[in-house]
Amino acid sequence: MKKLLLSLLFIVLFASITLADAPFHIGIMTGTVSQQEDELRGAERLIEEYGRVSDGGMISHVTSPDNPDAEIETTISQITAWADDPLMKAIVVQTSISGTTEGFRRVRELRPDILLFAGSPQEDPAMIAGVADLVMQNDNISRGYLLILGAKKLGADTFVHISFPRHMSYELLSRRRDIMMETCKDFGIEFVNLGAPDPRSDVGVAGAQQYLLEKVPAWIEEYGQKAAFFTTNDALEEPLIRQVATFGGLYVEGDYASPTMGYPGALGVKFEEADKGNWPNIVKKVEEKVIEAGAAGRMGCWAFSYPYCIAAGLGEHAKRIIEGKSELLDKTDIIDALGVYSPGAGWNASYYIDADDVVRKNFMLVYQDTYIFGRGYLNQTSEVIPEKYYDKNIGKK
Amino acid sequence: MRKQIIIRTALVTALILIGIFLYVIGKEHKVVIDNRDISIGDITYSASTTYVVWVDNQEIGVIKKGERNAAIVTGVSHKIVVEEIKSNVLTGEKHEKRFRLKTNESATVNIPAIINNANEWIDKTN
Amino acid sequence: MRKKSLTKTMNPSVLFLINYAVPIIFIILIAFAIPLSGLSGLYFIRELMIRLSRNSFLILALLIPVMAGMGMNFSIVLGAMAGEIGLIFITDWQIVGISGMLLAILISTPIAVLLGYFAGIVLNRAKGREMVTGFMLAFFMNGIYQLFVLFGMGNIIPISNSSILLPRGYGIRNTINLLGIRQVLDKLIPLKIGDILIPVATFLVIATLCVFITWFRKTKLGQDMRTVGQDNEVARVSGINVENTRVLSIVISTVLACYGQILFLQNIGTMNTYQSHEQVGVFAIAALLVGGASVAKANIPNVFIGVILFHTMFVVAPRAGKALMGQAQLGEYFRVFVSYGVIAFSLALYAWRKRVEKENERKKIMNYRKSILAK
Repeated sequence: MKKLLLSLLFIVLFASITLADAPFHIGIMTGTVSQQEDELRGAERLIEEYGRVSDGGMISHVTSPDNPDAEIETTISQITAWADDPLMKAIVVQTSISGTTEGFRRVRELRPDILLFAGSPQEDPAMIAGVADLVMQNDNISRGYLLILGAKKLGADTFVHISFPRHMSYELLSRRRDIMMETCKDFGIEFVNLGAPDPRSDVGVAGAQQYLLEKVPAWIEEYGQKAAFFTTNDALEEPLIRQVATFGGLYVEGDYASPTMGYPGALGVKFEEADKGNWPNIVKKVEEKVIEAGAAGRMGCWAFSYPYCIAAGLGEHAKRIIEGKSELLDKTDIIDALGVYSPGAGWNASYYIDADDVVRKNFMLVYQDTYIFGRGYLNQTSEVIPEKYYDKNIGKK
Repeated sequence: MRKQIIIRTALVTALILIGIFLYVIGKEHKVVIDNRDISIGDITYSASTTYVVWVDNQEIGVIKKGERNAAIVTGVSHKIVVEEIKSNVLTGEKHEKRFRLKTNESATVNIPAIINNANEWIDKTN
Repeated sequence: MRKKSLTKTMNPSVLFLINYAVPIIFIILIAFAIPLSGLSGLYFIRELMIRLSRNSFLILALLIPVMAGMGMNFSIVLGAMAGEIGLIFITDWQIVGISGMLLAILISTPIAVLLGYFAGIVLNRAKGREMVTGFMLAFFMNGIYQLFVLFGMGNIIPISNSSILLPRGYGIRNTINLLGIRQVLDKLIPLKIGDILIPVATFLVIATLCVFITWFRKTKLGQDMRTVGQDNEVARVSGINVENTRVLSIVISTVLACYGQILFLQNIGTMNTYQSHEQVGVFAIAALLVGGASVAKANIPNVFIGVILFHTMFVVAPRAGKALMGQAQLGEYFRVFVSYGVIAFSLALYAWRKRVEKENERKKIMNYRKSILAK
């Protein structure tokens, strides 16, 4: 027993001494596959590229608890444990669940030299921006304008926004809707605000999906083939995609715009083991099905999953900073790093402006170009968004 | 019996008083610091250079012209120090102001007004 | 067959093994997991220090009801809720520093007393089934808490701070940033040994509580509680107000849990409005059981042994799981499986042990009777 323990101890010690080849380490924390697997694939991509710390590589990957709100202590100690590794130079968390901020604070106290990157914060934005070196989130403000612009490019004359009161009580989502309304007015597109059951209410996900399956054909009938549809809820994307593909209408991109969201279930796309994290392949398979359904040129998404790009891209950005090749808050450097994992897709970014009107330069809101199946990229990221759409009081006059 | 009532009332009162005391000394206030143009009456003070700001001996950071930053302070009386910075070197020209905030008050401070010693350099709001 | 195994348990060394089965299993598991995890000693000590300082107080709150024979007090969750309500108020008013923490304590004490009194009365109606009743009571109060915080606050009770209020105008956000009181007690008396920060003030508070509990056992009330814990009827005959004493023990426990939760959250620095208290009861009780306590007997050493063993598991299990199975996500499942599995095991083991004890007791009486009859 004692011998076994001793030998185990030696193996571990030995492994950490002899194989530590990488000049520095990067820690990355993602969710497990039970939530959404894209970000985990992002971390695996980094491991593939730079190797595992245990094999002498650069990347140390851990997963966050599946029940983050109840196990905040675990998240904190998982993150803090990295401060212990003298070679650790950067920590990336995607999705930044509750506990990330506190974990970062503790790492900062112990090791001020470690770079702290947070993707998609679930905690108060101002709170995490106060600790992290770089925070990155989906740019819902710019997308308010860009989604309408994309619809216009596809020839839409009507934009249908499907949501429910709980979502509209979220500040950012209702602000995005207001921006959409304003943009529609400026472009001469009719804006239609429709309700759907909340999947978290008593009808459940199945009931809400059923509602959309039944209603969307009638809506397409009513608003015509040139109506673009959009829903704020991830669970509602699948029935919406299915009905738009079958009955007509337009679908620029989903709220959570990834080829793995909605499309596989709606169109029956089958993936194989080799497709995991291979986005060009995934897009190709989805595209085939979309064209097969006769929806070429009508439907789109982001060609590379957002959480995947954030997880891998932030890791890459960290590596480049440590190697002295990139600047921490340089927009082009950041976009470059994201681009490594999304070849061909454009990116753009803006800054988060907090409630006191302070521009948070370490809080970046990013968006990717929209890919329309059977047509190609829409060049959304090279569009200049007029300043007035960033006004907080938009649509409130 | 009466004695007991008196003791209890005194105890409760004392606790409430302690509570109020803790409230006052622990209350947080937000101080927004502007390095922007300001018009007071007919005079306009314009922001022209970059400053480093300390509030209660805590460095708030560099504020370029046209920018704003915010500080959180605790308690009643406070001090703000502003120093000009040129090409990353402090010029040594310091301006210091003291102010008091009542509970529930927050303040907006304007740097050009401080530099020019204008009376309305601070705007307290509830 | 069954009889034979029971007579075996009369053997003192086997009895010892059974009594301390949980700590022994834990020590073995940890002995394997520590080298596997590959964590450095420094990290380990630091983490243990933090966990001792933030969890001990909550677990100490469990001791007094055990003394009064009421088992593990699952309703300490009520105290935790009271503490959180205090913290919500000071965050809303933006009171920070040690004065913020003291104010939170001041506000939440009467709430905790009230909740504890209520729990005590309910538990008095469910004598002999205190544990399961307390467990359900926590669920019930959680509903009331949610109603209060999610609808009452902002509607009935004015809340003005937009950073904790939901955008719809009433109800409190899911997470509250406690930056204002973050680690104020831990860092009140700063002491750093090497790279390890020692929360001196927090440990002083915990030590004071230990002294209080030891002293409390010797007071008239403490003696009464122990008598009540031994036998209700005997206590009643000797003139002790059994019901009152039991209620008091729960009130004290609830108030202590309330302070414990405030202590815990000041260390964590973030509060999950609707989840922070949910696991408090289960984790505290599991740790105490792991420390070798039983539902009928728990002392101060059990608390500290429990915290060290139980939380070491929390610290090393994820990385050990990762080292064993290679993948990070499997490590996470491993931790959940081991941690919660052990909690279930320690509760089941207790039930079994109690049955064996009863059996032994019966046997002793039978033997005694036999010997009397033989005379």
